[in-house]
Amino acid sequence: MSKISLARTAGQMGVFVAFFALWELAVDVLHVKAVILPPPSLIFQSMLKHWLYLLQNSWPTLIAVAGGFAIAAALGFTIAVGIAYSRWVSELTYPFLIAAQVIPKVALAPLFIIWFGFGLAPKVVIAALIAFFPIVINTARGLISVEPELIQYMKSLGASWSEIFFKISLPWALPYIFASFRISITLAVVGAVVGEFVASDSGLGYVISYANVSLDTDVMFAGIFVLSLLGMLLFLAVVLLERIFISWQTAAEAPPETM
Amino acid sequence: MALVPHIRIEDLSLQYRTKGGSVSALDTVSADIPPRSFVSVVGPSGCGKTTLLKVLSGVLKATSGRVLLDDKPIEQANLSGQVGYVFQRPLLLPWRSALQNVLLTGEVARKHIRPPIREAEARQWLALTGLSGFEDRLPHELSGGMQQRVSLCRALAFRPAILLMDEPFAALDEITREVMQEELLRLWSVTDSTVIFITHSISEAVLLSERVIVMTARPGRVDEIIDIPFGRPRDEQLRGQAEFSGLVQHIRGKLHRPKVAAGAAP
Amino acid sequence: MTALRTLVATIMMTAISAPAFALDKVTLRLDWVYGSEHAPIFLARDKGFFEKEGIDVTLLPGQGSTVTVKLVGNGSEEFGYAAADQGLMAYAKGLPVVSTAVILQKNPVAVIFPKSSGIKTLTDLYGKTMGIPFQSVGEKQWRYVVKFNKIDSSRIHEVAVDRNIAAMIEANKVDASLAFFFNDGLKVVSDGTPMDWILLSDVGLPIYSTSLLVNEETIKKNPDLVRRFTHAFVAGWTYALSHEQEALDAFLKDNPAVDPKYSALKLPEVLKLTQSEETSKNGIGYSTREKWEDMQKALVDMGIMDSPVDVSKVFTNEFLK
Repeated sequence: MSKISLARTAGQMGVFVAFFALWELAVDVLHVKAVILPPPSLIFQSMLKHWLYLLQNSWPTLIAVAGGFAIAAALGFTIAVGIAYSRWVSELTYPFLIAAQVIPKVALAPLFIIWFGFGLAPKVVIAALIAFFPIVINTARGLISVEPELIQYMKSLGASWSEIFFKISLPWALPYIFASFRISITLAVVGAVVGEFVASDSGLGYVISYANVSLDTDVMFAGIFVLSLLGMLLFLAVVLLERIFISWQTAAEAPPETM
Repeated sequence: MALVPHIRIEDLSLQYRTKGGSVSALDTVSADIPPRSFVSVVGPSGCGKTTLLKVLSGVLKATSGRVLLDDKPIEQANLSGQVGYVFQRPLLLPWRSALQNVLLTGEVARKHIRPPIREAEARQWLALTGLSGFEDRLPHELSGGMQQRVSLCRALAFRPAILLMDEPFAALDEITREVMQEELLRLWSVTDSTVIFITHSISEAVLLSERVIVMTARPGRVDEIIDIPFGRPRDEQLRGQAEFSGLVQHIRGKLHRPKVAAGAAP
Repeated sequence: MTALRTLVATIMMTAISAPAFALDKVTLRLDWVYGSEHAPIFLARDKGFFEKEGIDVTLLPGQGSTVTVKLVGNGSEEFGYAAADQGLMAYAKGLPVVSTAVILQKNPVAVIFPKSSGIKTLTDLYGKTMGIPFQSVGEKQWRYVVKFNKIDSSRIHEVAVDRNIAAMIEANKVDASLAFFFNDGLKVVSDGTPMDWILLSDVGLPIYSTSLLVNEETIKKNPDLVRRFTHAFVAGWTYALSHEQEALDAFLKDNPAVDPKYSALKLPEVLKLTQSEETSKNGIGYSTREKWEDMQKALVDMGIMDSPVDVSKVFTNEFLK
């Protein structure tokens, strides 16, 4: 690693260390009871003590997130193509999409259990619903943003719609699509956990809610920390995929992450 | 249509609707462009230069008047794969190398030619513009001038009958610009294309072309068509000659003249 | 100078009697959102029971006993109405929560089922589908009862449920379910299906339910306030026992959006839970050390509590007098 990136990584870790140190200190100085807010040292101890329990419950959450995200990506992409290339699809669906996005999915969760049963399905549906909006918006934006002069030129050369789409529009939109993936993967985690709070029989969301009612606040936070780690790992996975698929994208040219 | 058509523009008008009413982008424009000639169009912003180019490439349709390609109206002519375009910005695909960018037009318009042949030709074009060794570079690794050269190769790689260029060197610095002008002339000399070249630079127009169409704005009309008498090949030395400066002055005077009362701006 | 003397006298009289006009402003955090199970509390407030004791009480709805217990234990709120077992668990974790009146003497968790199912005892569940909120405190209570009664739970088909119990029963997805009988069970009744239930408290699970909770510090600093509050609070419940309709009206007046039919079904059942052998002798809110010990033992056996505490610290009957 170069000196600069080494320093940067050290700096990033330093922020976390400072945060935990401040937390540990505050809880001690303010005499906060552990059952209300445990100090990080206790949480880390709890994570070690219950590592197997936490690991076993990470798996169902991961599956729910992956499933929800995959559906969100497929659905989002399809609708985005409709929005980008069809005026009436765009005008008809936009208001509905926005209205659907604004509804808190937590409110719908109990209904989902009745329709989809208990377990994986409602979690995946909630995760997909929350995650898919940024993908639609950004993908459509990316597809529309292709230089119109270039498109006209290709058309004048006799290029077919699919040639233009696959050779030019789709690769052009990839940076936008990946930008939305970064946001959506974190939303999918939120969605899966929301599903687990309500339809909990496994997963980190259930660990957190059950520890809460058992007044095991340290375990609750251990679950939250592990969840956070899971989210970070998934985010990194998206960034890695980004590096592979759009290696030509230099950091300076990265499009703004809308939303 | 013969390989390179004789283009005749007759009383071409194009109006389009805006919120305020209708705007006349082009008003009875007429011009004669012989095959394999190099014709420049100069004029202030809003004189319809780009609109004219779009009509010639078949993207826009005239409201009245006509464009004939070898006596055939442009609407009936099959322009597919016959018109090359170079924009002011290179508009290269950032994920394709220089070579792959040049191949793009061939992939679409010259499918009947086998890929190895297309690739060999693409490499030749790049070599001609001095880009040998840069074939595998991505656009962001190339300078502005180099990118524009790739764009030029892309336009020429499928040997278009008509090459439309919309202020292709406007974004380059003066030195690169003069280099590109020479290269363009050199490249064009080995092709059979008719070039229609838009520019804001009067000296560039006089240097490159045998005919300069001077236009006025609002509405877009032809003010004067000037034939440039210099022979070919041409080079930089031409700029120093008195006749050259005289022509430049003449055109400059036309462009800076206050508008004539009749048909003046609203 | 008579006018001046009268003025001075009036001022002095006001100064002396001023303390009597200053009410103690306190908050009471309930265990859940407002429901007719809280009707007697609304009644106590509206009939001035608190005011008579010199207290200006603000009622606050809750988000589960866990939260209420934390609020009282942390000193954020003066009084709470929440589950006694949560209070005990909190004390073991260092939150000094003390129960001054155990209102609902029996935990309302039950096995609920439509009357038409013909279920009478736990063994009648064999071969049936039963909804259970898996891995919740409720499930643990169920397992305890199963062990205690030597039930063979492999003969019961268990299905996971959560907040949709009423809907699952109405949709016939389950024959029976573990639930809070006066919530989910009566909801189904209100929707038109007669229901019956077996309280876990009746088949071997000795768990006290919602109680008036106070922070230990408050008791130390202001025992008089705690006494007055407990009196007013319990008085509301005692009065409601013989004035059910009045209590219901007090509640509905403040909560017009709640289903009145469902509310009317709940209140009498909740009032029944306030009654036990001890309360018939000593009045509403009375609890015994023996029963607290039994409850703690059950919680430890269930694995919910790690180690027992001295229960005499967790409850007191002294403020009931």
